[in-house]
Amino acid sequence: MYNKLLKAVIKFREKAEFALSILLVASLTLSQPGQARTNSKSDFGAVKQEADVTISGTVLDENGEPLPGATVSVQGTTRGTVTDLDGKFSITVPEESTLVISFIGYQTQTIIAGNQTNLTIRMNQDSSALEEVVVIGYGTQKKSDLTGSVGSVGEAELNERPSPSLNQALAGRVAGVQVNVNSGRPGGRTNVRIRGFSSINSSNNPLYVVDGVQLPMSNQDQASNAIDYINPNDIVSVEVLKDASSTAIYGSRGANGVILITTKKGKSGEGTLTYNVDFSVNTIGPNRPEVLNAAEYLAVEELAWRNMEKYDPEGWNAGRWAYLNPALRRTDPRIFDSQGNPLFDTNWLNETTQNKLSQNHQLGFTGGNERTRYSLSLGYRDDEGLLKTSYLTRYSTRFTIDDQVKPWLNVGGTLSYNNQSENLVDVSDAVPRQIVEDFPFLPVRYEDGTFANNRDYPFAEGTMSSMHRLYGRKYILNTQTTLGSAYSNIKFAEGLEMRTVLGVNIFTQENNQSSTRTLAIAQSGTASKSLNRDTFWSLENYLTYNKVFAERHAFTGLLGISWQENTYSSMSASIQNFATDFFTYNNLGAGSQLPRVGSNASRHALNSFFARINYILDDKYLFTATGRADGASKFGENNKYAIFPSAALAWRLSEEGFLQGNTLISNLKLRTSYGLTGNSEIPPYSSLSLLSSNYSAIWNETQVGGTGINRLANPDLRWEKTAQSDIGLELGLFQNRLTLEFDYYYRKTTDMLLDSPVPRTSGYATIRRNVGSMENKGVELTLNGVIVEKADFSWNSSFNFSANRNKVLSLATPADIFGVGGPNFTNQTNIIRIGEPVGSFWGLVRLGTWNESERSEAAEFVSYRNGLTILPGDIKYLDVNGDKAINDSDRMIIGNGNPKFWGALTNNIRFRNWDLAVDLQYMYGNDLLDMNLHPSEDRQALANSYRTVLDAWTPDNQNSMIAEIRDTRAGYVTNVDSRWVKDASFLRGRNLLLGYTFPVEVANRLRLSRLRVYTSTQNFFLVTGDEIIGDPEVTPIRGGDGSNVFSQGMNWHSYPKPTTYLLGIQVAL
Amino acid sequence: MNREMKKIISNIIWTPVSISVIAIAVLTGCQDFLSEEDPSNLTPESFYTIPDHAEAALAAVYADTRFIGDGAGIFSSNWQLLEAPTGTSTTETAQNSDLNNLYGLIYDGRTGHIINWWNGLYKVIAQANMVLDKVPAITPMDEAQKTKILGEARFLRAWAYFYAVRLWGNIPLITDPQTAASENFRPSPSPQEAVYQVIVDDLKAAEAAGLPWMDVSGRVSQAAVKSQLAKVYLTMAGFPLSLGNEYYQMAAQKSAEVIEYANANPNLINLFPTYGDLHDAMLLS
Repeated sequence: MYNKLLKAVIKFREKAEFALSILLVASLTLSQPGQARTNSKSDFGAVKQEADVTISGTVLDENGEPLPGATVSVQGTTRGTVTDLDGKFSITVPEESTLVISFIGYQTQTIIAGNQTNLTIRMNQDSSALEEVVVIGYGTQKKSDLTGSVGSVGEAELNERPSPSLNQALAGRVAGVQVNVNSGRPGGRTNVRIRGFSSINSSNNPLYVVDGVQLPMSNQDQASNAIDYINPNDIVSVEVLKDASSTAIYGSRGANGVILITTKKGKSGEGTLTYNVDFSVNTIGPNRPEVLNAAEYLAVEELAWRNMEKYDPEGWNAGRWAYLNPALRRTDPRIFDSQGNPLFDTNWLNETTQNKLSQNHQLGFTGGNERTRYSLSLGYRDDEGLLKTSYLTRYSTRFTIDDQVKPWLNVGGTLSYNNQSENLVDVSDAVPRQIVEDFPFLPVRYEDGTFANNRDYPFAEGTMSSMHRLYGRKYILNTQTTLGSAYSNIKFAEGLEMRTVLGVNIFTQENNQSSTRTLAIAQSGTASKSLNRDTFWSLENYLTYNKVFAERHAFTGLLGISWQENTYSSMSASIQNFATDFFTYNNLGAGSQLPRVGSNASRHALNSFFARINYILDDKYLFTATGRADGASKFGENNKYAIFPSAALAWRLSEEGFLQGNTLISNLKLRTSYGLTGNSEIPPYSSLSLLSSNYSAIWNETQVGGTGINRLANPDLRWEKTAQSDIGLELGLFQNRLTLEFDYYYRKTTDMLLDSPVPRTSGYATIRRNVGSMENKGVELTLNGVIVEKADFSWNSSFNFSANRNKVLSLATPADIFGVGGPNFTNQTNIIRIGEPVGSFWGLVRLGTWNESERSEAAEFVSYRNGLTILPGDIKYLDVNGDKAINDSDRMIIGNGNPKFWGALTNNIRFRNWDLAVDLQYMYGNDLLDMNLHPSEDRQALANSYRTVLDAWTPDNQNSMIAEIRDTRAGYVTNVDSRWVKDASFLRGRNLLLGYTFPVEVANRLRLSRLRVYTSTQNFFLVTGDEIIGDPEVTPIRGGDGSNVFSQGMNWHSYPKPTTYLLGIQVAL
Repeated sequence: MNREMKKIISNIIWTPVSISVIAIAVLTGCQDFLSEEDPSNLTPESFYTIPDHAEAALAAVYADTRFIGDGAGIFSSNWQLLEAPTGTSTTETAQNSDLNNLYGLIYDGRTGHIINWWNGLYKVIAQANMVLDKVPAITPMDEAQKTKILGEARFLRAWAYFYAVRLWGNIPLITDPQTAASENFRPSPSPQEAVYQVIVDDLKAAEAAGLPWMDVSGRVSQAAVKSQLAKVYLTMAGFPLSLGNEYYQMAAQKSAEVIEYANANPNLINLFPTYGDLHDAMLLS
């Protein structure tokens, strides 16, 4: 069996080789000249052949694993080679010469060349992995020299959890970074917050910088950011800049933290080819919502109708509700038998979900010689969503080249292209909501093939079914992203370099929508198409100077200038009334009614100057100062430029005499920083007085365009500023087998850009002003431990903990701000109030229900039920001011969606060839505001309900939180209240991964250098409160992501989260 | 000094020079790099220059009168502010707590419907003020067309103020376009007598603006102005201004003008014979 499989794989490989060789030829052409040069050099060496010996061997790491990429060189010459993927090398050298074997992070070894033919060299890890180099703004730095708070995620960690987007790969990796994956939609919908919130109206998203090029904040649909369209497989490491010392160099774009992304680059040495593939299947995730089945629903409806007599006696006696008699409604022979019994019992969640196979292929080539290095990657991803018809496909390619043109000049560049297509079935709440509310007694389709809908049942709500919507509605987003960069690095003298980076990002998005004639009945079909394009370029120049004076003063200086410009344009067209569903959005001319067109354009630009000084004394005392002056077009005439400075100090105690040679403490560093960063992510033209030309009057039954007032000018508009202080401690024990990093931070945002209300008598609602302030303070703790480290068994554990406390300090006026968060289709759900954290939920306190003994007390209340008397069985609220009326005076803050603390625990265990990763995520103290309880629990008999309604008030069950069942038309009560708010603390099994790497011999028999297979289960368990229905990590869809900034933890029918089973193979040769 | 060294030194000298030349060229070429002009929206400075702009500005005033039909939270519209507390209409939903409270005669400045009416009426007033401020300066423009547009704007402003003064009594009186620097940007209420004075002045100006007796396009007509004026006089005659007999007379006079014209031109204005017919749904349909 094993042999048979081997043969099949070899056969497949031979076929694949042919296809790959075509690609290889194309890509390798670029590196040919360099290759030739290397060869000629070794020919030259062959002249004095008689004295040479050929030495071959294998370089292994401390665990005995092959160490690819290690350098083997001849001391005192430029001759050398690099180990291949099996850690093997072969080199011809003069006899008795000294071989130097080196690799970053390992102690360098030397060997005297004899006539050894099969050396085995075991490398030992450098005593401090602290020599790790991290990427910082406009440069790199040894981790030990850092003065700021920077979280790093390496390639190994990124590869561990197969993710469709970088943000998902980052979840739980870095303390202080809160990544919420809020939807089960293919590609997910993530919310990334670094150290809490800094803004109310501007963006709270971090700045992403890819290989030194800042990505623009996007104007695109679904608030998609360019980062979502970068293939996570191309990323080799990620650094998260958190404190002001590290972010202030990004000035007005740094306030929300900065995520630096380094992509894969070519390596010199033997070329490599890697192919990773995974196949996965989605299944319904944990904690699925339970709804009434057909029999239960019909019983509830029966009861609801009979109870109308109690709740609206006047209407009942007048015969006003006779038409709602279920007996009269259950007559459709397609749905009921002649007795009115249901013919079907449909489970809509099962009907609307699929377990379809998804696949992901990633092919990579790297190679080069000592002068030129290249990499090429190709990717194809096809995600079939849990909900039928939802998908995401992505084709991606990336090419990088780096060349040492002259000893003093390096040039290089990257070019990547992504083409992504998605069907967003959850772009509105409609589908996920109908899955809950579709009547269980309906079939999916009638015998004639047409869809059955709630609207087929008299006097119901919900119109079209979830399945009808899934198949009748299209929302196709086609996004093409081109990211390119070119750089040159000129070395003027030892230590003095200038780098110039030109970056371009073109982001084109097509939004295609259509609804069939059976779905959009009134319009007889609708279709629309819009096209948006963001074009961004940046040009940055900076000089770096490195110098060590008198062997104890290490100095690095940086000085730079930058320009960035973003232009945006869009156009859209829509029409209704089609004779056929054939065209969807592909022939708008075939529609005949209400054609609409629109277009829009904008531009914004930044011009900046920046500088940094690092000074290190005796490797013990570290000092950093940075500054950036930013000019932004978006701001008022009077305030175009602003300066963002920062400073930091660090002290490496472990370098002091008293700790040197300490067996317990191998590293100890204290650091502190303070600085200012800004936020300029407001729409362009916000400071100008503008008219709107989108008014239309109707004269003679035709539309007449109008131009009128729109916005007040504010020539003083300027940046939001965030001042941040940070104190950090880094500790390494037992030769750094246990490391700890702790930070405390305090961030205060002032000059917040708020739409400050103006007297409405002016005709305007608001003026955008710099008012208001907010603070965030928190702690971050990261613990990394190597629990076991043996040749064939190792166990690493990583734990992080973050807590953030947010508080609004001042606003434009002392008045509360409403209308934030969403969806605001009931009364207000969220409030921003001075002294309270953002993301607070607002509502009444539900005490329960009135019981029979309280009949007279209930009746004393001013009716909050359609003017009808409040009865036993109605909801009982806390009447805060005792005025016997339930109104805004009784509303209060009833919860908050943000956690008190959160984090992750990751365990990586390696036993011989097996590897196991267990990745857990936790969140504590976050509330869930479950808006779904409004239609699915507070009211019944309009559409299907949650099974919780079976526990509603009855004369025999008066101790219930749920009002007695009655048809809504007899008067019912629903308000945003404390019943909808639940403690949604949770522990999630995010990823369980088991891998097996085939022994080198087996891989070699397949002519491979590496072969690994693995399986992974994502979202494999969830522990949360008993009363939570569905997933506690959510934001609502309705209202768009823009208004969702403060609605973390609000549940309003979103795409259900799947459990994903995945099987992957990694191959290298 | 070897050649390599010389080369490096020449690089050291020339590269910064060339870079600075490029940088200066880019900088001077981008003097306007940080200035901004919105290509998709007009500014008050770049508009109101030709007669067509006057028509467009007036259309915006008309457009904003439709706020009455706009939503006031779920399952409710602004018009229900006047209908719910007076018992003129009923509802079957309980989802809109503002609406629930209107039926219970509980409302204050936080009630959505009330906020929407205040905002909606003053927006109409602001749009009209913009027309009245900007249109007179448009030249060349046909004077008759100009007078007519100004008359329509004054009618619409009076229409809004008449609602506002009846809902709230003493209210801020704004008659010119506002900026954040305007003197009355944070206004105090004016006595309602002054508000009624502006209403009457506006309607009289509209009456004299040469509007046609009837206008089937939906724009303001002479008959609408006179009827509105009659209603305003009638209101002024009673509570709270209580101006009495003289105003009853004036109301009757204005009404008579419309009735007489209607009787003479039944094809243009077809009045119901009695007031009660106005509330007969059968007749209306």
